[in-house]
Amino acid sequence: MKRIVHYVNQFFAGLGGEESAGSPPGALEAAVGPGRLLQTLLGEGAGIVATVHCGDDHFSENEEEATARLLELVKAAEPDLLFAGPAFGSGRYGLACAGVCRAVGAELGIPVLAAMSPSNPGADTIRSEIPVVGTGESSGDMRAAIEASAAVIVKMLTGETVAPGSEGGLIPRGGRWNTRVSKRAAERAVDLLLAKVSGDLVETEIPLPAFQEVEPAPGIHDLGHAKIALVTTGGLVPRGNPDGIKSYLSTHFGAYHLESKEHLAGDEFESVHGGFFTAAVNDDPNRLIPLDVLRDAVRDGSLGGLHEYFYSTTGNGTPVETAADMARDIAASLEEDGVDGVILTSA
Amino acid sequence: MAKELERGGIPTVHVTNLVSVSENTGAKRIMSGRAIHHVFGDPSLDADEERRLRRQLVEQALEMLKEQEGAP
Repeated sequence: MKRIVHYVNQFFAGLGGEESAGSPPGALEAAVGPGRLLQTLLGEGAGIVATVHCGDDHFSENEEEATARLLELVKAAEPDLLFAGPAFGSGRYGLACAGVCRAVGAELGIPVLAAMSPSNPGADTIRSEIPVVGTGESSGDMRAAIEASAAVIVKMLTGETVAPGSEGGLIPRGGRWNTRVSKRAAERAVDLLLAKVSGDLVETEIPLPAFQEVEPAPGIHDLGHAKIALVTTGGLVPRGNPDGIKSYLSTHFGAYHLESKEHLAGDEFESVHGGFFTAAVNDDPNRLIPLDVLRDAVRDGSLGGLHEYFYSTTGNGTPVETAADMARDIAASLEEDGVDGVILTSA
Repeated sequence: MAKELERGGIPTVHVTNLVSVSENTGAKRIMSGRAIHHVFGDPSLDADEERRLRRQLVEQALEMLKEQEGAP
């Protein structure tokens, strides 16, 4: 019989709700709560030998210590696999599942599986590293969540590879793996096209990432008193690229002082962007960062002022999350410097 | 990046010629520049004409920062 350890929070361990969220790590030598249903579905081949639990608040407030203790408890049960959750939409519980799975996977080298809603922050934390079964937002989805998890567990215990896509209800892991398919690309493309024109398209092979909506900031009332900053993803940097801004898959940005420059000169600045033909910008960097005419606008009073730095990175191949991180840093410093608006230029 | 700057409370106009990419990510104020390789200029023009064009493009970008509800 394969040995499974199940991780749950205080609530699903039967210790109580929010009032018990501070409870420390512990272990029970049996399946409890959702583990009982899981045990039924797994049948004879696999058994839950221990349920390890921790209060959600306790875990988030003492992560390092709690993880170490939980790791000991899991290890003592000598499992072949760890299953954590389902945490549904509960953020603290989901993050605890992610933390326990990561630690157990790394330290014990056994297969680990978590289950939670795709919108749970824990899912984002861990889905690129380990399989996560996608569930609904609340425990009303318990039965379906446990059924899907049981099917994946059986697969993992037989040593079958768990694909990184959405097969079997898993949250896509964001990686690309080679796999064998029965039809070649041309046939699949025609099939997809026919399905699309007939309105029967159920699933695309490569779903586009869904982006979060953002409320626009209030507009500027009076440009004559507004300070504008210049930001670019076109990779304009002082010649020699002193900050080593990467020409592809950029990870950081540079901030460059405009001093009292009236325009940006081609012998002082260059674009290190590796994804567009940079000759026109290198000849005259104002084509990317329009400093010359903005100085004119400030001089004739139609614009209040210009921020003394411009910010630059390259946007080609840069993951959206990395770009968002850079922009948050830039936004924080612009806010501190009282900047009212940004012109962001991209190639 | 445009979205995170807007989220930080700073109206941001994204000047690009890959407008559909910007739209797909959900940027709020998008302006189509002159061309991919030179959004704020045009090397085929003479220097004075190009500078006039750039000024006009910059005015257009600044106008978009005034809009209360950013819209492409």
